[in-house]
This record gives sequence, C-alpha cells and structure tokens, in this order.
Amino acid sequence: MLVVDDHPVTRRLLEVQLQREGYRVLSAAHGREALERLGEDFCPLVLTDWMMPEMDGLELCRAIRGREWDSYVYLILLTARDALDDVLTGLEAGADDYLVKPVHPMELLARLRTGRRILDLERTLKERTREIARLAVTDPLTGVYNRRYLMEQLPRELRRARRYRRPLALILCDLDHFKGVNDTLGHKVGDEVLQEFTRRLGGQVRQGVDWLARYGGEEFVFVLPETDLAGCLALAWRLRELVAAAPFPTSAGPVAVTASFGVAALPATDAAHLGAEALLAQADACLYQAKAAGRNRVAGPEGGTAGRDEAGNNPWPSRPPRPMAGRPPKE
Amino acid sequence: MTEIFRRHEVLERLEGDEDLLRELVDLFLSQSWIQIGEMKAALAAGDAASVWHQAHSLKGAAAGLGAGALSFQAARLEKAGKEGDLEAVGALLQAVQEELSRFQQAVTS
Repeated sequence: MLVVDDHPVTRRLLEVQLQREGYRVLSAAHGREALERLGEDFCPLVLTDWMMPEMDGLELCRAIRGREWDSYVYLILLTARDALDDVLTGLEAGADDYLVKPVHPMELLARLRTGRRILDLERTLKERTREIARLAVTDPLTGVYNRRYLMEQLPRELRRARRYRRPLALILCDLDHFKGVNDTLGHKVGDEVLQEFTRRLGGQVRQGVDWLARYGGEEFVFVLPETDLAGCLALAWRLRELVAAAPFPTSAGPVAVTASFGVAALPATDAAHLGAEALLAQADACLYQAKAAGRNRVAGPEGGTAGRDEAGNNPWPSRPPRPMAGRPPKE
Repeated sequence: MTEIFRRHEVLERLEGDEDLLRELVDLFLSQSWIQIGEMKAALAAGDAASVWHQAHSLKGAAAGLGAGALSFQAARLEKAGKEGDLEAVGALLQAVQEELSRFQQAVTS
C-alpha cells in the first residue's frame, strides 16, 4: 500500500504500524510524488493526508480517479478536519473512506481490512466477467470461437479490411461423412474427432491474426485477414492435406478423416460491399462444389480451378473418403 | 491540562520499541525546528497560508508522537494562520516554540 503524508514522522509512524501488520508499504511526501510512485510500482490501497504541499489529498484523489490503473484503487483520506462539508468534498473527489486524525491504530487497520475486502471483490468480479466474456464466445467442445463470435467479429474484420483496402479471405470447411462417425462409433468418438480436428488445424494459422470458429456441427470457418485468394487457397490445400495425412487418434482407435474446403475472398474491387453473410454464402457454395466433386478437396470461386494443383491436375483425384476406417465401436 | 509527552502511550503503540521511539523523536525534533524557522520566515513575509499549512503538519505529527500540549498550540497557530490573523500568528508561533522546547526537555531528560 501507499502512505502519503508530508510530515516524515507521521509517515514513519504509519509505515511502522502497517509494516507490523504485514503490509508492503511505499510512501510519498505529497500527491505528485504519490502519483509517480504508483506509476512505477502500483499498489491498490492508498492512505493519504489531506493537506500537503505540491498536490494535496483531494487533488490526488481526483488525479487517481482520472486515470486507468491495473485495478481499482481504494483511497482513504486522512484528515484532521471532521466537518461534514469537508467529508463530502473528500468523498466527491473520489475517496472511498476517510479517517479523522489522530487515527486510532485499531480503527485504521479495520478500515484497511474493509478496503482489502472491496479490492478482493473487485478482483473476483473482474476475473468472473472476463471468464464469462470468454465463455460467451467459445465453443465448449473444441475451445475455438463459436458462431456468435464469428457473426460479431467477421463484420468488424470486413470493415477494417475495407477501410484500409486490405485483403481478407475465409475458408469454410466441413468434415466428410461425419455423420457416419457419429452413427458407427458413437457421439463421444465424434466429439474426439472434432477436438483433434481443431487441435491439428488450429496451429496452422498465424497467432493473433487468423482465427478459427466452429460454424455448426462439423463445420468450421477460418478467418484470414491480410490474405488474398491465392494465399487462402494455398492454406486450404495444406489444411486438407493435414487432415487426410494421418488418421485421427480416438478412444475407439485411429479414425481416418477427410474434409472439404470452400474458400472466399474479399474482391479487390469490392463494389458490391460484400457482407459477412454474403462472403460465407460464397464459401459455402464452393464447399458444396468440393463436396459434389467427391469430397476431400478444395474449391474456390473461380470455377473448379481451385480444386487443382499448380500444374492443373487435381492432385487427389481418386482417394476415397474413409470416415469409418477405425476399429468398430466397443461393446 | 494536556500533557507535554505521553511517552507511555506512544511506546505502547510502538510495541515497546525504544529505539524506534528515539528515531521518531529525533526526526520530529529536527523537522519541527526547521518548520519553526520556516514559519518565522513566512510570518516576516506576511504569508499566513504557509504558516497555516506548516502548523497543520506539525499539529498532526505532534499528536502522533503524544506531544499533546504542542499539538494543541500548533492547532491554535494553524487556525490563526488560516484566518490570516498575523498578529495572533506572531504570538502563537512563540507559544509553539516554547512548547517545542518543553517537549524537547521532556524527551531528553
């Protein structure tokens, strides 16, 4: 905590007393010094005298309230005055509590305990709020973003891309024959497949830039800011390969999985002002194309070319989807 | 009548730490004489507000150290300074200085 008083004896007396109670005590001779100390070494409990040179306790309260800190700052104003007007002025300036000097040591400690209780409450509340906010945008099964986040965040990403004339692309992907996994191996294994899918692919995108959301049952969306159609197709092919390359380990043994990918990118001349829904619909149409062409492939908006490699061949023309190649379900 | 030095009470609050008490008293005495000097200069310059603030600070520290009589006189000086009554400030500054001397004697004897 921070003790602010212009008299060295008063300061020292408070310091000694509070240190005995186990507080880590910083001290300052006036408001300006107090602000400097808080900036260097933040502490959430401040006990300040009222009358001080340079910057008095009232100004200090206002200055503290006027800034953002690591947490709430609990302010106790120490004063020799006890007129009601003064108390009100102090509380209006942002003090949480006030103590009239000379302060009885037991009362001081009791008031500080109150302060700590409030700081604890505030901390818990903030943590819970953060956690709730996180849960509200997270898919509980896979831990990736959920559809709510997608529908809130994608329009923002689109606006930003448009404002700065930057590219943006997205990949819509769907696990092939996923219903078969659920029907044959059970929903638990189906869930494990979805978890492995996001584990495998989630690490393939740029941290803090790209993000992945679960769109529906076995449908996922990658949102790729600063990525054009070519980059997006290249990534989609890589993702496709990564899914098909090795079977997914599950509690029912390895399960071979493939996925189909449809991509869409913000056009360079975006005259139509494509919205999030339109871009998703575009990707969905491509995804449908990929599925119709035999699954386990990528389809882009420019005809079927995206489903082929650089030489113009479809590199994976004949690999059949094997969604149920795992061991039969246990009894 | 307020006491010159409630030594026992202060020591109790410091949990019997004589060394700490001595340290605080020394700090208080040197600080207080500096303040008396500053208040005299302020009085000569007709700066009653400065006397008010210094006396306020002295009053609080004196109370904290159990110097009841000194704190009482400092409070009167503070009031005179606040009201801008330079005549009263002159007389009370003298009273505060005497009380400080008395306190010094009490703690050193």
